[in-house]
Amino acid sequence: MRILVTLKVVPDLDLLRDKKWTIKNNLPVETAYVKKAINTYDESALELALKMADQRKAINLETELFALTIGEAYADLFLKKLLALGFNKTYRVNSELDLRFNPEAVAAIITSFIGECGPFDLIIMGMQSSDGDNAKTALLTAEELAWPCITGVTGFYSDRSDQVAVENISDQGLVQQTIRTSCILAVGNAPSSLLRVPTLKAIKKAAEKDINILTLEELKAKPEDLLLQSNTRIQELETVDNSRESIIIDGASAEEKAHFLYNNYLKGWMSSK
Amino acid sequence: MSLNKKQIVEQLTKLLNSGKVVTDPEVLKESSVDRFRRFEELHGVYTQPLPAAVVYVQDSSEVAAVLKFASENEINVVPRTGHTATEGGLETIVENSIVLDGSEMNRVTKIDPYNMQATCQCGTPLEILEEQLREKGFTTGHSPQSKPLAQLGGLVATRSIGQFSTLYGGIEDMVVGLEAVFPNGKISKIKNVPRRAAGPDIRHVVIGNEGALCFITEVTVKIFKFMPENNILLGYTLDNMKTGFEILREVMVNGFKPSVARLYDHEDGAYHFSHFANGKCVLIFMAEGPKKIAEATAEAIEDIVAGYDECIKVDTPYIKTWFENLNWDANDIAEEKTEIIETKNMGNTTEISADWERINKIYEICVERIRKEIPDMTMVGGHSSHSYINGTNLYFVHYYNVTDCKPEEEIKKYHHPIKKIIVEETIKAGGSMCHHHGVGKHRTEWIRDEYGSSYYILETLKKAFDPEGIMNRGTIYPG
Repeated sequence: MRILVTLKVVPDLDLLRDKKWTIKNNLPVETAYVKKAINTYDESALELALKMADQRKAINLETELFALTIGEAYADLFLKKLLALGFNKTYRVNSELDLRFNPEAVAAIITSFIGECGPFDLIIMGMQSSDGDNAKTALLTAEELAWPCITGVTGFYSDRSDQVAVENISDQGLVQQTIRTSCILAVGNAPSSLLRVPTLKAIKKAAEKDINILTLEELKAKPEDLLLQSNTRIQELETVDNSRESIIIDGASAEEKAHFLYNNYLKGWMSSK
Repeated sequence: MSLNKKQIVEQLTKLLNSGKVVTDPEVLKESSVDRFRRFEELHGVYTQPLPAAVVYVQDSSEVAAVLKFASENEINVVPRTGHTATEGGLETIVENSIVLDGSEMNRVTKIDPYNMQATCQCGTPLEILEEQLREKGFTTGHSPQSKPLAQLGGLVATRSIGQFSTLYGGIEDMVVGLEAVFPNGKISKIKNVPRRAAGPDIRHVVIGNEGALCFITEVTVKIFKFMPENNILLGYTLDNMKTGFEILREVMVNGFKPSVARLYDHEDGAYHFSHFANGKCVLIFMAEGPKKIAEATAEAIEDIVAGYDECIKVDTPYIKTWFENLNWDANDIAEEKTEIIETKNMGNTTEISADWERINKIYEICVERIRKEIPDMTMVGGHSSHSYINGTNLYFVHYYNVTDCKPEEEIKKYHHPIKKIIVEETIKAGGSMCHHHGVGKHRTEWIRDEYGSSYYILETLKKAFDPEGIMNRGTIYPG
């Protein structure tokens, strides 16, 4: 089974307090100065793909893992890590375009890439990225490819070459289904899916492998056309206040704190219902 | 020890006026370890004997009463405040120990801007003191990574150091006076004076004692004018550590005092500076203080660095964002827990110091040996973060994937062999095995080698102040 996992390297926005925002002319917040990380949902997608490769290996089924990102050279550090973790090939489509709010363009590039470097049986994506939050790329790619897509995926496994058993959270709750490949899985809040860490030995071995760099031209994608695909324009920036009023309960033990919580808060609420 | 757990708890309860005696089993388990055994703890495995109780004291007289009782009944006492120790200093290696907790003695008792000093109780979180000082335009100048969590008593007891140490010094340079309680119940107060030549400096019996000689109840530290508007950050990438050490040395021996002088190797640099390091070492300075001094210091550093072709200057905002997120808080610790449990990737640090002549050799041999000899390593590197006229420190950072071993075997399989390499190579080269975390319980096997003939002085302190051996057994002094 040939599996493509797409990932985005994003600024670690936890490190950038809103008081420190520098707003550029066309409204994006300046994030060039912030440490980069793999987008959280993509990290889950990568780890779940590795877990499935492990699971398939245990039953003597072959799996080839490929990783794709679109962006600048700073992503290479992360792609090298994936090679050390056992990905067969990694690809970066070199682009300096601001595609944060342009999932249409991202889907178009991914589709072109699949045409050039495919075929793939399964595409695994994170359901959204922390800097764009569009949550559309997987669905738009599925539409372009005319493949089925499952969103909110929390886990999957495969014991055949042409199908995957998938678990996902939908409006109806937790759903388990088996789907024929080719298909797209958009990974959501998957438990226990932090990306494993490669050993120094594996990193050294992977250093000999190259990252495959592709240009937009090679994928027959014109930057000006891609930018036109966006149907979103930023009008203004506003910070969202997520703070909540809270009380810290003090006590010598968990039991004492629980008593305090029950007697002073829960008891009243429970009796009023 | 003749009393059983029940009797110890009963007696302790009688001794205290307003203090608390806690015997909740979960609290006792958590109190039997510190961050050294966090891999075990995260997996719910507790291998150390459990204490009889955790005692939250409210004042010096309660501390004195508990210590006297413990002394008379030969009960081991483990003093603590913020519970952020990293070297096993808070492990209760004796069953039915008393964990003596000063975290509720947390008042800032006096801020004295005219004499430039502040007095606070042992359980005062450093961040609280710092916030109060900053409101008045002052700072302690002390900023360890644990600042959001650590408390003054523990910081003094472990000879802590902060990120601005090159200008302000370590905690030993900041403590003016203090109060400590000894195991016989004697409360000793060292007065606050600028300097004195009335015999040995007895503050140093207390500073860094790690609870093995006495319990610190109050601390007075120097304060400084806080002028962050004058801070100038400088950053560079460079090819190798040897050049970086040369630059640090040149800055120090020429008499410049940046508050921050840090050199990261390419491994550690890749972790902290993935947004610009690109496989290189990273050198960072911060000049602060009065505007003219800060500017002159920054200018001089730039001149020195200009003499090294391999250094490439980094735009200040790249360094600034990193710098604003340097300290650890409760969220970071919670995230670290999740990461360790899910990935089984475990990281620790070992900090040493040596003179300029030896530091790079120690760095090279330790990194090479750890890479070669320890299995499952995922990262080994480090940084220098505290420089002096005659040398600097090295903060080794080591991560590994815990593979094919039980949680309780992790230290034996990985952490101890790594520490052994670093400590033994450092002592062999003439450096010190502990720069700022303290000895704790896991470097005591090398304490005699660390001290050589001067171990006589260290040993005599224990005999004099803790003749019954009830203070934090196994810490600094082999158990």
